[in-house]
Amino acid sequence: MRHFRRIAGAEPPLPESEGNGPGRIHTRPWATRVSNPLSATLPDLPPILCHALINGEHPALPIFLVGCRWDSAILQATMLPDFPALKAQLAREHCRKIEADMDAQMPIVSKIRSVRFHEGNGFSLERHDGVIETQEFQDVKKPVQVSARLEFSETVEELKQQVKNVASDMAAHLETMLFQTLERTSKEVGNAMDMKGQPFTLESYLDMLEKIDIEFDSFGMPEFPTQVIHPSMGPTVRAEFERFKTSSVLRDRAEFIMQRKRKDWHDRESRRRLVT
Amino acid sequence: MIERVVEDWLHSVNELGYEDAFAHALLSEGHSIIHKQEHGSLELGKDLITRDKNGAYHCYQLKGGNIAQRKWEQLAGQIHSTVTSPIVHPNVPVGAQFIPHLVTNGTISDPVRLDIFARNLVWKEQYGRELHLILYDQLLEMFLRLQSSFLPTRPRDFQLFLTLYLADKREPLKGVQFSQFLISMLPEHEVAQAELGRLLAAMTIVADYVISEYEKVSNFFMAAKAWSLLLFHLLRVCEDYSEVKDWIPAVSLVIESLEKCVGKATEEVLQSTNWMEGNIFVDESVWSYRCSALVGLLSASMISHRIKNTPLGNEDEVYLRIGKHVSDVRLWGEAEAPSLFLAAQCLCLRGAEWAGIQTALRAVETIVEENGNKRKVGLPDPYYEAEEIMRWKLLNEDVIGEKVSFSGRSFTIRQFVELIVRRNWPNNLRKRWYRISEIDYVEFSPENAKDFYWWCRKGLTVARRWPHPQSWLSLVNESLAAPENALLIDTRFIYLLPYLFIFMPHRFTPGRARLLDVKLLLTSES
Repeated sequence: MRHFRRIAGAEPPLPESEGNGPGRIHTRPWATRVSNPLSATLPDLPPILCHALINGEHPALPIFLVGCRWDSAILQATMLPDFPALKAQLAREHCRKIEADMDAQMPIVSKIRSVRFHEGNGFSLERHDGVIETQEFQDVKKPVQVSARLEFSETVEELKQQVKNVASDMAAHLETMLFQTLERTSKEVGNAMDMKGQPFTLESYLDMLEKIDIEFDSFGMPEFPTQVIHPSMGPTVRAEFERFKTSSVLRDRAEFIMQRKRKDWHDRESRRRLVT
Repeated sequence: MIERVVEDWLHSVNELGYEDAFAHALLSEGHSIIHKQEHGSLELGKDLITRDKNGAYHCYQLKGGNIAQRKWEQLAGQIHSTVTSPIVHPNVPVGAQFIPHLVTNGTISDPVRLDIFARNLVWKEQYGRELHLILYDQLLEMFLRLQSSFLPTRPRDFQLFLTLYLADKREPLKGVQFSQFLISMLPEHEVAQAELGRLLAAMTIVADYVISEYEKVSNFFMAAKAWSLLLFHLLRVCEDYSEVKDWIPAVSLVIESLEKCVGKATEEVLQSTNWMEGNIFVDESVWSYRCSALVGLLSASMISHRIKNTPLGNEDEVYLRIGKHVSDVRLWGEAEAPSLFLAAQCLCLRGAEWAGIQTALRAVETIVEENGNKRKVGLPDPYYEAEEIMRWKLLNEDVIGEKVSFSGRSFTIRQFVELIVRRNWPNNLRKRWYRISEIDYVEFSPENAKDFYWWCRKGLTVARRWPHPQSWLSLVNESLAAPENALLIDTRFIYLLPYLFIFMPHRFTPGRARLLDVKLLLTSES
């Protein structure tokens, strides 16, 4: 039986250039989180792991992606020659491609810029409503397991497939986390709206607008927040918005809301001053 | 293995290189340092004067390399003075007997040994004392014996030590690595009171293997950085021990070494007309980064001495250079903010308060401009050092990450705002407040306040918003508030804060900046 072992160099933080030395990362070296990192034999080959870390804060959104890093459990057949430094560079390129794949599947999360936390195990931020929110970082991990009995080409194929699946799972997971956090905070702030199974209507949309803060640019034009709608709702929403063309009552109400929001925004902005 | 490294080091340094390590070794053996000669000043043939635990006085003359007949002929007069001249020091009774030592990190030839033997007979008869020799082997044994229980033992730590030891000393010191290395020497168990002195000496000696290499190539800026980091780590260790006498001698020696390096670096800075270095054909690209660092160093040195009430002898010259270059300091990242902050303090201190306020306002405006625009990446936070930023900006390397943004927050804006508030310039802030209030102020708060190492595993990054509206009065009160959890560096060693800020810019927090500035204002008023 051939024995595999983890290369010693895989355990300490990776070189700084990989953004994974103390002071450069937002989390501990991942090896500390692996349950059985030290040795394995062929039949029970440890899974190749990848993980991403989600957390963060944003002036506008309460949570967003802080960083996403893929780590491979580096396995070495004791007698086979290897090229770790070269492969580390290749791995970085590989990770970029995986992240690009993930971004393609995360229409919302991928648009959010990230903040890197260099040390510590959590963060504390003040939300726009003045509430202090403190959270510890959370790990998000997905294992990839490949049998070591497969031939080379089969292994490569299997890995590609599994990594693709993991990227999809992770992307879905990250988006879900984002929406869960949005849901939680919107409930806390009091601008969540439960439609109680009723269909979407333009009236309910305007009700929703009443509850949220809207920003305006320097020309007084509204900067609407990103609105996420399920594709199956597309035709319904479009049809409802068509009603604007025919109903002056709705148009007036929308205009009234926007005027009030503009005034609210002016009030908010005028409070941003130093009172001596 | 470590023996080979120490041998290599001991072979390669001159007397200045091993002087600090030797003094710490003596301290750990129970000596108290009475006087440490500043080289270049009045030479009395006694580099070091100590008193051992039995009360006997010792004088040491330190030399470098092998001593053969020719060298001995040159040294003989000085050594004669070492043995025969009395100790002249207010803390030593007049005419006190002492034991003279000749120390070298080499060997002595047989003729020299015979000559010393003969002279000793005379000295013994005439002065009641004879010259003792401490040569390479004894020095090596002394260092190895002391550090044996505190040396890095795990291969990874030892590898780190070798990396630092063998690094090109013209390059910047990697603070994160040096800090990791120092932490690796700390035992996992609590150190007994009796062992504390040995731990401090061992850490200093092992660190000195690295630091003296920087001194050897005259890279005094990086040597000063290394001494500072060592000092802050030592202070962390001392934090848990209330008996000051157990650690103050070791810490004082390290402070002396730090100030010596800062002094030498300052001299170099003042001597250079254009502050250019190395390959001048491409120096233009990195000059502004160097300029920021040097203005920071000069300002830190000036502020530190002012707080100690021992103004620099060449303060006028230092101040002129700060004034000349402060407008060249570019805030390329928040790691450079302490340089501008300290420079602003220097200007205010010397009566150019409006220029100081303008410097602080310039920093605020840059932060607001860069971090207030959501479309921009923003100013890199203080965890990114100059070289990383240059790699990013000049070589297009992916240093900060593709989607990372610094907008909407700042680690240093509050420090500048408070500096202006403390000097009562409300109108200048009021005009800019709308944009300032867009930026949340951030600081890292370690779980254990004492852990202000380079990197903390546990703690929170805390972001807070300015109140809307912000009251000037409450801002004034906050900018004068005393800090919670004051540590040694915030109380007894407050004059070291400028060095903490420039060498560990991510520890340039609003609380510590406030503490330093208030102290400075009080000092200048008195």
